[in-house]
Amino acid sequence: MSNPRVGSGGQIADDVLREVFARLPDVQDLLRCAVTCWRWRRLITDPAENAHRPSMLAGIFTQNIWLDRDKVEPLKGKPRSPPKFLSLQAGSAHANLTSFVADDDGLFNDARPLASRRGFLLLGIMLPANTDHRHKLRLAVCRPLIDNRTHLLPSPPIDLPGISDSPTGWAILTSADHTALKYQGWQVLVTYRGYGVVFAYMYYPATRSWSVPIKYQRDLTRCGPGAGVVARGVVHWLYRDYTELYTLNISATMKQVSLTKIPIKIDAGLPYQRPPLLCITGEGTLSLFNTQDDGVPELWTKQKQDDRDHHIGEGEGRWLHSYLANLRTERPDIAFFAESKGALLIEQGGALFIFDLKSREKVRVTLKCDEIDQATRWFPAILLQL
Amino acid sequence: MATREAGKKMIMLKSPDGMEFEVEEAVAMESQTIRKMIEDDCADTAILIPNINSKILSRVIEYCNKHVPTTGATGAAASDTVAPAALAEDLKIWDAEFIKVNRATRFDLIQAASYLNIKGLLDLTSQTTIDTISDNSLEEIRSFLSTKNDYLPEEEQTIRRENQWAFQ
Repeated sequence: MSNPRVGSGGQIADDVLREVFARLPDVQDLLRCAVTCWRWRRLITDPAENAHRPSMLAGIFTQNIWLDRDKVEPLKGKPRSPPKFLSLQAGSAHANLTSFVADDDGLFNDARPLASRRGFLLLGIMLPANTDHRHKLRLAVCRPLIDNRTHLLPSPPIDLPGISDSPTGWAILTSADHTALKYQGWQVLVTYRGYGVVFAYMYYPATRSWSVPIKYQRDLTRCGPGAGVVARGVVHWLYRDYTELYTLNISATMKQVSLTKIPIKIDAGLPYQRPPLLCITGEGTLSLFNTQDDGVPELWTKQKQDDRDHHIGEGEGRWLHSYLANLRTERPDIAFFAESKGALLIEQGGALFIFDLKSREKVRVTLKCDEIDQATRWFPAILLQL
Repeated sequence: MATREAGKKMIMLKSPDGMEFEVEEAVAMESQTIRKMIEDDCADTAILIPNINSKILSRVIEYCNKHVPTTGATGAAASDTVAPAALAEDLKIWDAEFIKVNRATRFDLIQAASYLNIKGLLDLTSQTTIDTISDNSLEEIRSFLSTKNDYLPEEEQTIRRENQWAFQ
């Protein structure tokens, strides 16, 4: 067998391949290349190798969440409602999650897609109710489209009094997010809420173990998606108290936890106010996509204070405000954020669009709205990005 | 740094095989890598370009010479007489001629463009390979790009099955 690292004998060097792979126009071409040989596969799928390749949007995972939990017997395969994969690539097929992962025990019959990052998908699995009639949530990480292996995480050791056993926030981190992760490939960060305290646990796949929790004492409620967004090695979630909105920031190293007040205020006069959506623009810049009023959607972009300033204090900092003029026509009904891609999936006037937050280009996607059936369409869609 | 004509700063690029190329600073700055060196004041009298031999470096300079924006005193005059659309068309024809090289040279050019960070040249040189990948079957890609299939038969079968979606 030839040494896969050597680019001699007419073989293309790694640098050349990286440039070519970064420019392939569609996901299927990239996946076909990953089947060519071990070296190509490593360059495409190894998180430490593919960090600089622009992310591609493969499709959407969505699911019917209106199932009656009491009637769910996942291990008996009743009823079968695995997440659906809706391809955003022209001409390629939609499929069930279970066609991508080994599902011998029917484990994914009722799995919930929670977060996606660089081809990794974090899933929540409901195991049958135990004696005290409480469903136990387990987490799993897989890479649909790449391989059919699944990493089932042990339950986090949440044995502290007063802590709720369903997580309030979660995130996948990969080698692209933090150099310390290089030999791990990925990690999972999960937060729980106790009495006025946020507890955060990190899962390390190499040792199959959870970290000791770190705590942040503050009585806050999460609003917006449970999937945190990752910018420059820090995971962010949107939180609120009675008057203000904040981002909760936890570093990948678990050494820093902080809270940042954001410039968008809670309007006490509104009974229901749609919270802004946290997103990332450009080179890991934290931003807020806001569609509160009937006007033009707006984007608030956090201004860099200092390149080395990873720990943001409780101050508001400086935010640059701009209007997204080409989304003016109609207020978006739904918006989901594709993190590694830095793009939003938007439903507007009965059609779906991908809106690139950096170039501000809006591209209509091939998927038709009626392919997302009524029962599933309001589920927070998770966008799979390779 | 040498200064030849008034207003035109020249800089020297050296290849590892000892050849020296004197180019206008604006031309050299088509490379983001060199631009950064100049801006960070790391470029003294000559810049050594490692890993890129004189044959490839001269072709890269040829590309940059052609693609440098014509904004100087003489450049402004040129763009006054030629319409931008015609200029772009001319560049396209020139690019098509430029890229008529053998495969080894093309890969060397990709590598050089990658190191020197010249986006236009990277896009141009990788396009042929991208087309090869998009238009051909797996076996053809392997043969056209001299990639040895180093999977065991059962490994390949498993991987193909796992990646089935990509072959639909």
